[in-house]
Amino acid sequence: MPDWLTHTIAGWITGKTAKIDVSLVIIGSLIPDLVKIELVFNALKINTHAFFAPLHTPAGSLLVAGSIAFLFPKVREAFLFLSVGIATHFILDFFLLHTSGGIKLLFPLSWNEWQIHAIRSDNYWVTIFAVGIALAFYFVTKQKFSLRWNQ
Amino acid sequence: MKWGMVILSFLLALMLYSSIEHNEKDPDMEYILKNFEEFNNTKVTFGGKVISADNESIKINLIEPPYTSLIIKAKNLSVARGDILEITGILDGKEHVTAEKIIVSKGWKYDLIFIRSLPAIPFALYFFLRKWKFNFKKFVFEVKNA
Repeated sequence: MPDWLTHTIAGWITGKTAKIDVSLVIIGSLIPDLVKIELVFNALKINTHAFFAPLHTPAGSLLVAGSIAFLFPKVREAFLFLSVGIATHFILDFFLLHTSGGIKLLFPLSWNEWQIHAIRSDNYWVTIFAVGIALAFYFVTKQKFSLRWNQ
Repeated sequence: MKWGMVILSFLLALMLYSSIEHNEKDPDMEYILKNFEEFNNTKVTFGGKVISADNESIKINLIEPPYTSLIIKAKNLSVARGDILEITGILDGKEHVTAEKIIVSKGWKYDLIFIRSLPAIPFALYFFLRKWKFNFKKFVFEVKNA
């Protein structure tokens, strides 16, 4: 995984660019990593990997988004925005370098895993780059807004 | 809300399916080491923390269940105690793997992944709670000041 900060920044930029509900896109960008709940069980020496693993698949994440969306007044809209966040998460994760394996994109239809194997997950320059892009994006959009306001 | 519960049931079904089929389709190290004869001389992938190393081999502790020690045969790999390894190799002994591919992460770099994830929690909560509040009577989120 890239770290959560990179995921949330990607969700924030995507939401801002597409002019959709940023708050839900950001939440969506973290949904696949609900799989990290297993770390809590690992600490208790309980192996729950097989049970929680589907959360880090598109099908599992979309089902989580579907369940959460019913807690919002506009269910379809909420589901769509959460799904956009989920998509940004898997796009970023798709580029991670591993010795083998990857993301089970077609689970439960297929257990095959796919990955581009390009970027190491411990590469902190990705986070620094993401923060830089976010700051540049923030100041550009703020400037545009104030220019429009002054006209 | 009723449909929400239906979708949640599908999710639980998916997770149960994964629990049942996982050992068959994508076994983890706990299952592999318990059933060593079945997986002897097959390719395995796992993560581990370096305990000790010399020019010929590395002793690691698995960072996933069952957290036991394995000896990895890998020549002239520069690692230090505490480094995190991702290894793909051939399981050719009960606690022995001949490595084919190894990714080495310095211990501090691995820990930094978790540390730099922490700011994401207040970041996400700020954007979410700025817009939404939960109505416990209706059991639904509502837009603030709507």
